[in-house]
Amino acid sequence: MTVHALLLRRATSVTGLLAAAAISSAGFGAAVGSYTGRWQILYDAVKMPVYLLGTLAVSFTAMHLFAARDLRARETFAAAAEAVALTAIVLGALAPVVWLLSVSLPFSDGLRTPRSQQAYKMLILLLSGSVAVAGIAGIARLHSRLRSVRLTVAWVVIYQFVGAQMAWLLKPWVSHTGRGDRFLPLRDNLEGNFYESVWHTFLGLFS
Amino acid sequence: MDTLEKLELDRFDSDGLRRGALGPFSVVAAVLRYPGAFVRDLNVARNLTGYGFSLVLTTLLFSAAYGAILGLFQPGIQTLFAAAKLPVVVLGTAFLCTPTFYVFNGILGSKFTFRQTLVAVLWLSAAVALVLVAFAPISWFFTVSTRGTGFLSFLHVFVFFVAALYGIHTLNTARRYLGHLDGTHTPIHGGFLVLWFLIVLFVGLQMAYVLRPFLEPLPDHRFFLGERGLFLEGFGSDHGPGR
Repeated sequence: MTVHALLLRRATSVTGLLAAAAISSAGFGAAVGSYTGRWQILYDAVKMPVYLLGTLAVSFTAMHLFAARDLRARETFAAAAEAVALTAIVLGALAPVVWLLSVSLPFSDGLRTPRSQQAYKMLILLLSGSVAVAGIAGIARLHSRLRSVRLTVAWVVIYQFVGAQMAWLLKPWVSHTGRGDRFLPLRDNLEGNFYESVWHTFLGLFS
Repeated sequence: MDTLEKLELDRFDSDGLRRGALGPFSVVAAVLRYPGAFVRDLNVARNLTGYGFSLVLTTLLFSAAYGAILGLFQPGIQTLFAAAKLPVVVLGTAFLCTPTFYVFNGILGSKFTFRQTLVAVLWLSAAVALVLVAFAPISWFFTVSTRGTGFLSFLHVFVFFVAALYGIHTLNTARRYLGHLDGTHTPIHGGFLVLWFLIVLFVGLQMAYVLRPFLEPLPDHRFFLGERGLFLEGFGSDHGPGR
């Protein structure tokens, strides 16, 4: 019901939105995790809601800072939750297609064969594409709610800034090593930072 | 008289769907002769369970029949396997693609519920299965009178292509009529329908590729090859999606 109300732009409870976002993104996570299979299915099903809702939790105060003149904190949260929920619902809708490719694209332990490496790249592309499409849907909804380009842009920048690091922290998603045996290699992930990594990659281009 | 006016004249007793002599298969009459009546029922969410049940049953049996013909190339266990596989491909594609259809149409302004969307997608799959069963005698004739797989593969791919085109044409007509019935919202977005149809083709081909082979049985009589890969690899090799 919440999903239908969300699509029709009818008012829904924030709790319902958050629940729908969690369930739907968990479905997408499970579909992505199906590529490596076994525990990775469960890992990604947990990670995806943590990624979307955790980013919202961390960036909420900064988002509200920009909106405080026009909105109360509760309204800010409701608008942000609606955008995140719509993003998650779109991801959930794409999950069956992603799942089909996850379970049928070539896979080898450790991604040693060229075919599985190619499949891995294709899956990463599909994953990024899905998140991009879902994100655009979420941003469009956010804009229609806030009716302010300035505010929408500010929110998107803040959310993306935190979200990139959150995704970095929660990796692996598709399990690059091909080993689905660790939920969160936190020690490895904490050594780097998304932006540091991008910076080093950038410097690497010139060295 | 243009198409929409003709659709307006369609009368179909959907309550008799399970009562009539043909039982649930009278939905075939709706697909072929009275699509307007079905679309009006769909628009007001009338008798959706009855339609859904009939459309699933029709799709299952008709695509199984065509699957059996695919498997008749080498009669035996493969006939059964292929008859089991094809409904999985057709219905599986429909079910896998329904959430995308529902959510994106919703975002683009549709007020359709999930059940209405599902029945609309099943309408497409039933139309596809109907074309398959209509071509079944021709395919059967060529299957029993041809030795090699080359021509047969081509023939089957052609039949699937025609079926897919007819299916999308059927759904597109429904889309236009729905827009005509209620101008306040767009239950199915025209531009997105084209994009979605590409997704459907992609999913359908991939499913068929996963469940291959269809024509020639495997040496150890397994149900399917179980080898992972993208369907694009099948073109050019001797295990094409049509096989």
